[in-house]
Amino acid sequence: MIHHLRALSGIIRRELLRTMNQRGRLAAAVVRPLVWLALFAAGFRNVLGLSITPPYETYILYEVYITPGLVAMMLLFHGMNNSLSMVYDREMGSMRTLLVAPLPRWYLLGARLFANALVVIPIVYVFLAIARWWDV
Amino acid sequence: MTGAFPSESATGAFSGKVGPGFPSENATEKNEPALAVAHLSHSFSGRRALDDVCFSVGSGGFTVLLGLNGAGKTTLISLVTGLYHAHGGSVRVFGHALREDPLRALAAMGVVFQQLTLDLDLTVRENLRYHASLHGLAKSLARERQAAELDRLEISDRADERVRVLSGGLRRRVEIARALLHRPRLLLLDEPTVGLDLSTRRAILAHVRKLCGDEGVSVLWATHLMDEVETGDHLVLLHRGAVAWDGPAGDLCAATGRPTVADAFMARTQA
Repeated sequence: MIHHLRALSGIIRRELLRTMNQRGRLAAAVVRPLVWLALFAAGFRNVLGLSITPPYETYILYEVYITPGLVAMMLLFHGMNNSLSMVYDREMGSMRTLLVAPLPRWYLLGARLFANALVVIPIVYVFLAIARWWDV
Repeated sequence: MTGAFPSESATGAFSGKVGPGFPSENATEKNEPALAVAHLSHSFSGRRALDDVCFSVGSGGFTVLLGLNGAGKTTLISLVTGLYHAHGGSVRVFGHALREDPLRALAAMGVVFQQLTLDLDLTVRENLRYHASLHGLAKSLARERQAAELDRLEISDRADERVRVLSGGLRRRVEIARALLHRPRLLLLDEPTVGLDLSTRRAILAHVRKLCGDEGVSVLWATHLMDEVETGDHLVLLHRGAVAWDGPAGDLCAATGRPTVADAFMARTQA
C-alpha cells in the first residue's frame, strides 16, 4: 500500500512540475476565462439581468451567472490539454517509464488521471480569486 | 569532473566505484535464469515479427542480443517488459512468469529503451525522483541512491539541469542511472549506444560490463553493432524474427570458420 501511495505522490509531483514549467499554458489557463469575464460578461451586463431562483424577483449579474460556466470551461480545457499530453507522452516514449513500473496498470493510469484533475484545482482558485476581486 | 568519460578523457570507462546494495536472490529464485524466453511469437497485422524465439539469460551473465534493424530486438524487449502482450510463448524473470506475476517480474528488471524516455522538461534529479517513487522507494533512500548513481555515472554536476539541454551521451547515462535506482537484478538495454560517438559507446559498454562483473547484475544488451560483442559473451543472434544462434560468440566464429563476430554473423545470416 505504501508503494502505491509513493507512486501516486510521485505522479502528482511530476504533473505539478510539468504544469508549473509550462508558464505560457498556465497563464493562458487563467487569462482565457478572464477574457470571457471581462469582454463578454461585462458587455452583456447592461442588457442581461438574470433571475435564476423563485420567486424570480431578484436578479443576479451576468458575471455571476457565467462564472461557474467559466470554471467548467477551465476544467474542460485542462482535461483536453492533458489528454493530448498523454498521447504525446505515449508517442515520445516517456509513458513507458510509467507502464513498466511494478504496479497494476489500472492504478498507474488512474493515478495519472487523478493527478491531472488535482493539478487544475489551484489554477481554478486563482481564477476565482481574481473574479472575486472583480466583484463577482 | 575528473572521471574517465569521453568528454573528459578517452580511456573509455567510468572511474566511479560500483556501489553496494544490489539485492541477492532469494531461495526460490536461486536456480532460475534471470530471463527465460520460451517459444515467443508475435505478429503485427499478420506479419510475423518474432517466431518461436527461445533463449535465456543466465543469472549474473552478460548476454548480447544481436540483430540487424528490423530483426525483432525492440519487439522482443517490448514483450519482455510487458508493453506488448505476446501472441504465443512465455517470459519468466527469475522464475516469475510475466503473464501471471507481472509485478514481481517488473520489479526485478531495469530497462533502458531504444527511444529516449526521460521527461525533457524536468531536471535530471526530478526524473530520477519520479522513477524512484514509481518503484516505491522511500524519499531518504531514493535521495541516497540518486546521489550514488549520479556520482557513479559522473553526472552529479548536471543533476539540476533540464534533460533538454543535455547531450545524447549524457541523456543515456541518466537513463542508465535511472534504470539502476531500484537495484534491479536484470538490466535490459535496447540499443543504448545508437547515435553516440565511439568513446561514449565504449564507456557505456564498459560500465555495464563492470556492473555485470562486480555486482552480478544480469544484462541483456540488444545491439546491431558487431564491435560491441566479445568472443566470451553469450550471444543470441536474432535474424528475421528467429534465433539464428544461441551460445558463446566465440563458438559462432568457430562454427562458421570466420575470424570475427561480424564475419560469422554475415556467414550465418546470409547462409
